[in-house]
Amino acid sequence: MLVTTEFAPGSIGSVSALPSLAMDPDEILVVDVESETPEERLERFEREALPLLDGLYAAALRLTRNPDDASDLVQETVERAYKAFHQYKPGTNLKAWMYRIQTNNYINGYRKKQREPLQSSADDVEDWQMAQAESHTSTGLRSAEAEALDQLPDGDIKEAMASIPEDFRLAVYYADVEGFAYKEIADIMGTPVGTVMSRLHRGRRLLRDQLTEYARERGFVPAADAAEATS
Amino acid sequence: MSNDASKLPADSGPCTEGPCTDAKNHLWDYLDGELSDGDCAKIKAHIEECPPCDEQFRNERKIKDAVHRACGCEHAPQDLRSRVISMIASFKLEACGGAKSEQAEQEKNPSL
Repeated sequence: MLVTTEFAPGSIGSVSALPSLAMDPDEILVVDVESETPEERLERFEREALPLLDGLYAAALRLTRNPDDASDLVQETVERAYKAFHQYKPGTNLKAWMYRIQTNNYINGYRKKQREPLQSSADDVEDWQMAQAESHTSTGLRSAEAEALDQLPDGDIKEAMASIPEDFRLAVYYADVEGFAYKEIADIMGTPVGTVMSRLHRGRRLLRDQLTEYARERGFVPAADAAEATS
Repeated sequence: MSNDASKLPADSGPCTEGPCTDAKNHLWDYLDGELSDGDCAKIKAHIEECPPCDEQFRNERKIKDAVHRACGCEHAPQDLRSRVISMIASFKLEACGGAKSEQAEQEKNPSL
């Protein structure tokens, strides 16, 4: 696969070295899907899928940015996942499988009827916005800014996340909160790995810019550092 | 792939070439756990002996940590949990109902 990104991984970090969606073989439960009764399948679904509810809800919140829409989306996801559960291959990553259903469900239908106004997409980020983010942060995060991130209230971070385009936000969420590998995120979002890397890269730059701004507004970054950072 | 690295904007600061550039180009691959053991060890060895790179890696990691901290502690509301549980209960009824009526059918008409 040809992977084109803004920050090519070069000679190391090749895509082929990424872990596959399959779980540790030791964790694989032997399930005979063929001979399983509907009740057994439902019990297996309940046992394996219900523990994912918190994570699905948190991801749905990042998508919809609205608790009511997030709840509706998760309920629909669980329903769809149950109906398609016979297609799920036991031993593979159920979490990634359900996140993919939720992401597809959101993109293909839910987004149209959601209560929130239409969100900005990655395509809507103007070049000047990216250029601004790049120029602010081309030298990386300064120590004073990094320290300030520890003090920022969670609300600021959630707000900053909500402010970046949906595709970037989801990629960052899947990588940083759920700890999915790039390959898994690519699978969940239905994009090539290179696109995931690019979204992560750009999303983090915008996020970093926004968080630094909040830290400055709250006076967490000393004036000298703030002036230096914006110069 | 190695040609692409030359298109990257040159980083200012004390590290501009060699292992520092290599480490910075793979900063996020490293922080995201995407590198092979060998490559990971190379970067780790470099940042251990290069204070500016070490500092930059630590700083950038804070973004990842902040997102994890703020967005990773949300729980599904009780109302949603109840809705999902009752939905699964209704699936169960359907599944059992379906199985039972099938069984009843079988008993009534063993030839089926």
